[in-house]
Amino acid sequence: MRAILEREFRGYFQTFTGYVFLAFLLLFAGIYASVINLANGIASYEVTLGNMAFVYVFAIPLLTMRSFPGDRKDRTDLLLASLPQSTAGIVLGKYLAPVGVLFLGTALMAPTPLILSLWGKVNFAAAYYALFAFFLLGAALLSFGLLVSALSGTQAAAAGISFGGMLLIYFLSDLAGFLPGTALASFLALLGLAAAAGGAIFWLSRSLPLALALSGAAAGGAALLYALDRSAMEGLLERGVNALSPFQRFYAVLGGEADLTLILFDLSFAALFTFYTVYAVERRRWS
Amino acid sequence: MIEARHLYKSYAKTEAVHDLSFRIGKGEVVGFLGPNGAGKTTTLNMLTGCLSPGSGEILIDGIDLFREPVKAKRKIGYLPEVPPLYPDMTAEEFLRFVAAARGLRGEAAEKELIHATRVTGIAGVQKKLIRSLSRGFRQRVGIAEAILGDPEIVILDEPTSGLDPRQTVEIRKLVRDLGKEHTVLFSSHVLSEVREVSDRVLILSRGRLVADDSAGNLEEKAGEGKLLLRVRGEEKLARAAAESVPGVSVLSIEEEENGVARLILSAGGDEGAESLFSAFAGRSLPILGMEPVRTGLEEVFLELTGDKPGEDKEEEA
Repeated sequence: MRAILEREFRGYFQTFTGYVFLAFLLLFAGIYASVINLANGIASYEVTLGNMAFVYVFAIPLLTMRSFPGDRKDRTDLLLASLPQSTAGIVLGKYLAPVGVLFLGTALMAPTPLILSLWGKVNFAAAYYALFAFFLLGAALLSFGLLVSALSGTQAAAAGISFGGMLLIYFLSDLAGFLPGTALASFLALLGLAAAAGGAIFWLSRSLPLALALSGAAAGGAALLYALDRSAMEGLLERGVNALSPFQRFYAVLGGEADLTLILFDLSFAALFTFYTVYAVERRRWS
Repeated sequence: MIEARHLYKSYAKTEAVHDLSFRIGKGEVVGFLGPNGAGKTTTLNMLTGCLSPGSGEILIDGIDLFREPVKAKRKIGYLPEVPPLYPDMTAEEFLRFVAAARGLRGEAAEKELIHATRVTGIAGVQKKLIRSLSRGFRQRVGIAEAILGDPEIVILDEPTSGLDPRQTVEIRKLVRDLGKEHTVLFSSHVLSEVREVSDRVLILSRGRLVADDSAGNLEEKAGEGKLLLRVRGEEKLARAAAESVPGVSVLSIEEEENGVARLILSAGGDEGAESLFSAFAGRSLPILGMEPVRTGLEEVFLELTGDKPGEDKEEEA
């Protein structure tokens, strides 16, 4: 894993990708800080980071588009597959490399609160916690970009699909507002989710009885809840989608106290998509 | 060292490999032959863990490749058909990466790096970016990658493909030398190359193993019982004389210049030869020459794969 991580990390700086990403991130960080903090005289760096989160919609595809299609293009996928490395090790190396580049970028943004403190009173704890949350948000989203990269045939496709996916994730909570709030709609959505989960379980396990049993149990639970307490199901869709939005989670902690659930959410998000990436790579080998 | 047991692999509705089984012993140099699309690359990808078989088992030095992949892959060095190189790295950076990925660090990595660059003759270009190297040197860097860490098994997919004649000779010598210290399995289209370099030949046709022997034995078996006769006399008379001997059949006959007929016969051993001699002498047809037919690997290959010269099929992915 370490060798892959080192190579991938260096790879970002053997091409322009790493430099373009850092330049892009720091340029936006500078512009946002100038406009929000300096021009408006606001010493809160959390506000700046909250506004800046949109850069991930462009930055994540830039960092992950090459991860797997680049190997397919150079045929180095065969090299990696023939090396004494586990698939999980390869995927983890490929995931941690852009996380490292992102860490470098956020580290370069770290002096900003110190600079702002020259002109006003800065809450350093809140500012650095927000910076940490900003980094965690990026690290979680990188796992999504990596999965798209593993599933895509070309860099262009990976960039395009990842960009579309990032837009969807970014606007998830806005889109959730359009969802119907009735209990019936929530119940039907839960049934749909149970069916989709059943499909996913079948895709992963190839076991129809297992998929039917689990999705049936989920559907049964939803029916029971609908029958017993309809009021609890009102607005469930919107609440559920908001709870699953990484951006919404990020905004919620800005300016607040350190929140362990944010760390757990982002780590779970990253673990889930990294797991799917390992699965996607393995599946390609077995196809 | 390598044992393939009942391998099957299909792509959509196309069967690429069908019930393929073979065993390669320690220190053997084995040539893997087959026309385009025969399943060579698919098989090599399966043997190196890059591709999983639909069913079957692969044992590397007794280790199941798909149950303990990391352990098994430590014993394998692989050069695919297109050398898998990172163009933005120098040859040295690339080899250091491969050494690290094989678990070699520090002095051990340094030692292996020096060995691999010396054996493949790339010391002069190791500071250059891979993208700027010629095809021949890229191939050498690919071979250096395959032998880095001194794996017991080296698998090379068409190592001389696309090289100029001089590079081809050099790489062939390199493969031969590798055979002194490693078990080598290499695929090739070039029959003379396989004959020159390998101890044993596996011939694959339409995903099936159709021959497994040394090149010499394959040629000998294919030519067994066949005689070449040059006889002074008319073609018609020569055919009649040959066919008058029980158990002899005429495989081909053609007339050379100056009234000499050239026959290839299927004759069973020395007794057949004696009877033929008597039959031709009895009809006053002087035998100018009689010798066993020497079949080349090319003929063996064409016969086993059922290919005609000039036929070409698409190689599998």
